Amino acid sequence: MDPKEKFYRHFRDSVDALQDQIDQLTQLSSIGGERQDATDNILAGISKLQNEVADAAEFTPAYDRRQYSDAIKGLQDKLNETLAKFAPKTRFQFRRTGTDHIDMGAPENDPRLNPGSLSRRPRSPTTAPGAARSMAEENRDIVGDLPSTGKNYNEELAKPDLASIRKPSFSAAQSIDISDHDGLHIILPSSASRATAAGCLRNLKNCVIDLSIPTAQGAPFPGLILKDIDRCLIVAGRVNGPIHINDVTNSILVVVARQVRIHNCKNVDIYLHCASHPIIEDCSGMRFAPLPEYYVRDDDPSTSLFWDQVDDFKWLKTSQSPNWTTLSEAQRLSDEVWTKIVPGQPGIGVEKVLAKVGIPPK
Amino acid sequence: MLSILRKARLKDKEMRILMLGLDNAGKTTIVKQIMGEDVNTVSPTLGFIIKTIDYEGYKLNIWDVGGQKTLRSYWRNYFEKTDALIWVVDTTDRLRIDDCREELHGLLEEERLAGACLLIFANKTDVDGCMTEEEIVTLLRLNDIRTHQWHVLPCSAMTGKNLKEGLSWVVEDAKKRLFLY
Repeated sequence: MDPKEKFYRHFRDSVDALQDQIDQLTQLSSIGGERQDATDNILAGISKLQNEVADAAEFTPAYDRRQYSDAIKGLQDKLNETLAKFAPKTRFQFRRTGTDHIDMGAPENDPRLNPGSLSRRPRSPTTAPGAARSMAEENRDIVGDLPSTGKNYNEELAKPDLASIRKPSFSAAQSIDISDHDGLHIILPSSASRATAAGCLRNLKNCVIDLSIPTAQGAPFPGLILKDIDRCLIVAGRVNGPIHINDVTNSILVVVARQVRIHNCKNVDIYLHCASHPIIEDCSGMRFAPLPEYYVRDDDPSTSLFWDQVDDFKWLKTSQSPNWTTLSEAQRLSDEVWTKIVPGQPGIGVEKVLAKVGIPPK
Repeated sequence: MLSILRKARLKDKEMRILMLGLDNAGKTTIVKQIMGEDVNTVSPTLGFIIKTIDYEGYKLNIWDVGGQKTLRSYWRNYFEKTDALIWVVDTTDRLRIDDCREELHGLLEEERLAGACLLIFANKTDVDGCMTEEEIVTLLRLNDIRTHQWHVLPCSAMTGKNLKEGLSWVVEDAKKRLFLY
């Protein structure tokens, strides 16, 4: 057979096979990487076909070659379309208080200098690009959720966007590492529950952060680190392991964890559910309270609660340590705060939330 | 003199193992898992815990000393007569890996630990996104260690992975040295 004819048949068969595979994608489960495997397979098939077309270029006429490359492009478009349908809906909510935390006078934030390009330009990181910012850039135009890449939701959150609501996707994120923010209200969407690595919140000021949604239904953090936090309200979600709290000041935390270690903190109220003795070291002005009713789950053990049995490494005497105390029932925040104020309401900015929960003004 | 004493104790099939590492590394949880105790209610260690484990005819006295900053200055009180040092690393804690390296290298300069072998438990490897064995070797600069026999073992205190293997390495290494002298 003529090589040209032979290649044409081979190409047609390959395209048919790939098209079938793309159609079948919808029936595959996204759990356990099944769909991901199939997607990788299809991508490999397309690129193989592309190479074959290039190899066959010497005996295929120009017109045929264009037909071939159009067909390949069609396959890619179809794959992208199919994958886009799978993208989970995000429930991310975002509120801006005002402009006090974004310096509109700075050239990088001036919309007049960059008309139209504002929303596409990520703010440069304010700290050294260390491990916290090592997440790979998004890879969305090829595959929606390559497991090896996480999107840089920190940059997406920090963008000085003109829209009041931003919805960065956490669905591809493997780890939750929220850092370097000032004055944001962040509610982690349930799609972030795919992040199964240890979490980290760092370098946050004047923020309200709620991680409880994705961790409530069976995807608790294996471990969580909170570091360098000032004037924040943080609902840290569930930690099926240790939480390590360092250098937190003037804040309110809600914590469910197996082990709790608190170092170098000052003036922090902690609503705590802990399966072992929490410890503090180099802390002062710490106040402890039990987990608010709103966050208690039915399967939480009601016995052996250690929220008020704090060990102070800097106070080894038997008398009560001066560095911590418990919050009396009257001093605790009411259920209404957790059910209405923390989830956010239209028109209520971060500063208003912080004021309502009793965090002193700047 | 010390080495004679040490040898005598090895003949008695008794070993003293010192378990150290930063706070939150999982030292107590490792010991509890080996002993078959509940690992879900471990509180951070205020002071130290001694456990005796019978392993292949050897009596292993494991000294598990708390890792909080306040306690680290007391670590030196436990150095004497140590046959093996187990250094536990939290492979999910990239933020403090530098602290971890400095504390470890500081310990290795201690004269009283000079005769001990060093087992590094890279703990919490059941957690996604943890550091690999290669990363631990590089970040802790283990290849710079000239003074001690060392061995890295990725493990998990929660699942029990590689914990027995670690003890077995410690015992085998001690046996070898017994014949050397």
